[in-house]
Amino acid sequence: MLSVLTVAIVAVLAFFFVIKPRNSSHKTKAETTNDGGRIIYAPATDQEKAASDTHKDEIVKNQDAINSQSSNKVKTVIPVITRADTSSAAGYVHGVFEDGGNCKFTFTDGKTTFSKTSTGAQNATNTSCIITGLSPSDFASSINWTVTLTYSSPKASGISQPLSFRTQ
Amino acid sequence: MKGKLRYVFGVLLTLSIALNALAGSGAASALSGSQFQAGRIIDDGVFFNRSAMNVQQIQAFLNAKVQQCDTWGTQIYSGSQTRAQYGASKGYPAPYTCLKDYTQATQAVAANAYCSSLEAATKTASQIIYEVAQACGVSPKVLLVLLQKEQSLVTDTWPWSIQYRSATGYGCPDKAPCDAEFYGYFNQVYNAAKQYRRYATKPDSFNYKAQSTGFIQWSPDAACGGSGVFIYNAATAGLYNYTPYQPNTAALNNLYGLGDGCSAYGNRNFWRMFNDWFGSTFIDISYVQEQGSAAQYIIYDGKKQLMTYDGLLAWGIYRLPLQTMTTTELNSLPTASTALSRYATVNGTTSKVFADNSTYYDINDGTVITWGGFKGTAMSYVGWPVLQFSNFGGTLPFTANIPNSPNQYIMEAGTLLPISSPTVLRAWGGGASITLSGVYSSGIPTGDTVIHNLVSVNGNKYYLSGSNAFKVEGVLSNIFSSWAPVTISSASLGRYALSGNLSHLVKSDSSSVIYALDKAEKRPISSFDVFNGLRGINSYETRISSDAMDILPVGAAFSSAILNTEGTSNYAVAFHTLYTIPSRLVGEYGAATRATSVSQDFVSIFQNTGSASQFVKNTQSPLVYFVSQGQKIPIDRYDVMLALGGQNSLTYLSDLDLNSLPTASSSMTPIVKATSQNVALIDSNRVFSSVATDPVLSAWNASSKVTTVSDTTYNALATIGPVSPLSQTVQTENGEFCLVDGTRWCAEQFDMIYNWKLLQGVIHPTNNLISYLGISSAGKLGMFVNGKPGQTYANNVFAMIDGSLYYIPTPTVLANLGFYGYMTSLTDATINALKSSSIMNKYIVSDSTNTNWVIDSGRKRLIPPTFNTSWVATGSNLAVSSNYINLLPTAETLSKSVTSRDTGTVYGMDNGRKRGITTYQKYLQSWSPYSVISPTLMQLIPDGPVF
Repeated sequence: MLSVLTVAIVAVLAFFFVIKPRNSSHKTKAETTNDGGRIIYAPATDQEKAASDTHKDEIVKNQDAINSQSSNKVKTVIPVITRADTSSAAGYVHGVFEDGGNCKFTFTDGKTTFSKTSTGAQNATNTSCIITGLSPSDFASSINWTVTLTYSSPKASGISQPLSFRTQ
Repeated sequence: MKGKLRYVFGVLLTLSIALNALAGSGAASALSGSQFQAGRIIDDGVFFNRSAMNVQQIQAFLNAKVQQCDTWGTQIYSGSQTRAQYGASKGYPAPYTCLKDYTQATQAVAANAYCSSLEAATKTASQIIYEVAQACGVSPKVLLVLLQKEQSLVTDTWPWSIQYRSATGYGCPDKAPCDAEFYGYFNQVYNAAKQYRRYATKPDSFNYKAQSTGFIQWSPDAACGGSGVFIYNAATAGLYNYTPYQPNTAALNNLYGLGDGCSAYGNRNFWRMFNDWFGSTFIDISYVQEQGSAAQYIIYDGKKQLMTYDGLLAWGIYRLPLQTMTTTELNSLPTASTALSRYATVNGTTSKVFADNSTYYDINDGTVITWGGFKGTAMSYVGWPVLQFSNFGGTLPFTANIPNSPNQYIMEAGTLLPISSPTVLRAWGGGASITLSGVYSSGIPTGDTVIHNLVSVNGNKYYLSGSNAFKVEGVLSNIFSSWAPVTISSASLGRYALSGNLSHLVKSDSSSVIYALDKAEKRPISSFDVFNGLRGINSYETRISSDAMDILPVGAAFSSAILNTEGTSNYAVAFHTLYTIPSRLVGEYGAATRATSVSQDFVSIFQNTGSASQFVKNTQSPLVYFVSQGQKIPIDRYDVMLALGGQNSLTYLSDLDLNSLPTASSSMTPIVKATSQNVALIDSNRVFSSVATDPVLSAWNASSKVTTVSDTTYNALATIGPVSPLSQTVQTENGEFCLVDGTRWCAEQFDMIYNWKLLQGVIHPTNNLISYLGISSAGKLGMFVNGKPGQTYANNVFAMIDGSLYYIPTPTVLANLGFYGYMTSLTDATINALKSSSIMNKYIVSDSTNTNWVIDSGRKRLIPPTFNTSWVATGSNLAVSSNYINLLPTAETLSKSVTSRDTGTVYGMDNGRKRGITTYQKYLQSWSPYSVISPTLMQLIPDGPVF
């Protein structure tokens, strides 16, 4: 009950400090659609308006950063491993959007080390590296393993932090 | 006043939020970073709801966000610098087009595994959002939020071109140039939506996937670290695959502002903007367990519904975070309905659905039968929030995959039938299969492997071809007798359009080859001509799918529409009409070398109209041929056909079979001959026979028209009616009796018929034969004959007397016999055949009663018996028939003395001589009266001594 009261109080405060219309010339209209969804037809808030200008600053900044980069230099990247188990592993390379790079996953339990390679693929805003077809028998020697991802292409190269995982 | 209203509205809104909070709904409440669930940013039912907004709602939303576009950048950017000035300094001069006003000419996009096709057109930004949402199955709300979080495009009043160019950030890695391949507003929206759909369709191909834990960094800076996040659903996994960062605590604590150096804002902003613009990202549904109990419920619409374990898995409820409620709390909620099973009717509708593997499917009564009542699962009721939370799989297919099996299966009456190949599956009309959960599929019986597409429904057979079913009836059923049909229910048959009967001829759209079905094989038809032979007049091949076609094994090609039932009988078939080729004609048709071997069943498809004849044609041409000795002889005259009797026994052949028979150099005639056989003139239902060398053939103009045929054909033709020796004497169909001699001479008088003995050997040809052989009418038959010009007897004259031609030696004899220019001209051969060895130098003829007549210039004059001794000397008379005599006109009876007008001298007749009478007295005493005779006769009567 206390939590309910708290939410109600927060809502009242929100009315005065957050939701209170800043643009008095336009009304907010909310529509509940047949599927139960809502559409709130409201003018852009000041925060949203400010975000547009802020975003333009980011565009300029990003362009300056890109322009300052040497196009011929192989970019150093730090791939990220997102998941790994005895059947597959996945990671991505931040700041690179390309097909064809070499993804090498190196698995080690401290005693045994083996690697599997795959080809990197474009993925929206980065390059993804996926390895499938691993066999549990590859991991028979231990329960605790780590995996690192090494990426190399004409444009970028780098090695990830290791990711630990258990086989059981 | 406005302020008061605003106040009232604010109070109401506040109350509403509070009530929503009480009801557990997050919609439109003030958002807090603490509400952010990293593993469940948005529910699938919200993210993939393509119907969340229509194009008008999208446009209205954009219009609401930007009331006035600063097209010319006149507003101040900073200090005294206008937006236009600032933009121009950065390479983006005015004018600026806001998203609500933006249009783009888009290219057409073909359908692919993730999105349906899109047409080329000039479209508004809202149209593009809507159409892409429909094509790729992503909520338009998601796309609007994406455009805002990536480029602030929704609210921007002076957007730069670069913001459209990379509107969704697709192909834009951090701190690196965007990939130009994906430039442009449409490209950006489309590829982002397609990518979201791809993430959901192929989760194993990407970094983050539903119902698994993934390591997610706080920011691009690896040094900031990250955490493992259990991702509940595909939509959330998709957001992380697109932007692989989660907001850290600093970012969440300042939901509308900045966090710290390790903050990333993409997914936070997505969640925040969605909530601000469209309410909760969640389906209003909770998954709770009763404290101290194993009972689990879902709570939606303020009601609770008990969940079965099966239902939890089937509807994917288990993907929700499990909360705990006390028994008291649960008891305070009303119960929605009975426990939710996987088979349910949607609340408030008659729609039925089946759920498995977190996905639900539309079903109908037929589907329920096909699926065997879903293993006897009790039907329950399901609410809309559950549907929104689960994935929608469309209409429940009848094909399925089950875990740990490489097979695909057909579901039939609750039994899974393994499918032998994808080809068979497609022939059954199977598309995407449902992948059944192990929980559901375990215990479903499996049947025999389906290796073909022949099914049986209530004793009727059908051939399946994608979405069509063709009934297999009658003989065609026998053709498929080696295939055991798969028994299916009428309900399952209802999946198919009943498209008529399967023809014995089939074709697929992927090939131009037409096949004939025989012994459950497809046999290519070598040519269109044979196809025409095998098809019905108004029936063509059945169009089946390429898969249905591929299932059929290939048999030997149909090279001919001459069929042989495996060495037994031969047939000619054309336009669905079958002719049995009699054994005697097998050789004539060349069937032994050309026939296509088929089953008796195949032959039974066609209507048997009896035996094939030797008169053949196709339907494309009026030409008729006579088949003989493996060749075809043109019959280019209808009278020949009539003579041969073929007009009622035409056999139709395929063009190919007709064309494959070599054509004889000469046309067919009704005059045929075989080795060691006489010539036979075939005349409808009668035959006239002649020795080949007999001149009578020439008289019939037939010598040059003999067609050589086989013995069998000869024997067949020469026995189509009574056989008569060919004769030159004929009685025509008009009743005329004529002599045939290249032309025909016909008698007009009864006595002439007998005089010419036309009844001897008379034959009765048809006018058709007479016409065909050019036996034209030359005139009436007379008593005098000469040779035709150019013939030996051209300058000779004969008298026809009782069937014999007597040479007339002198013009005087001729004149006396009565010639007045009416001559019958005959060939030497005929004259020789009729010619008497005697010459005609007599003028006395005697009939069978010994009555004597004198021929006097073509007239007959009776010799009274008392004067016989006067007129008739021994051997001076010629015995003739009365018919001949009848042909002569009668003049005065003779006396025993004669005179002629040119002399005036009277002669007494004595023993056939004329003897001068010296005195008038003697005349009066013994010779009076005299008869006046013609000078010609007078000349012919030999002289005797004067009395």
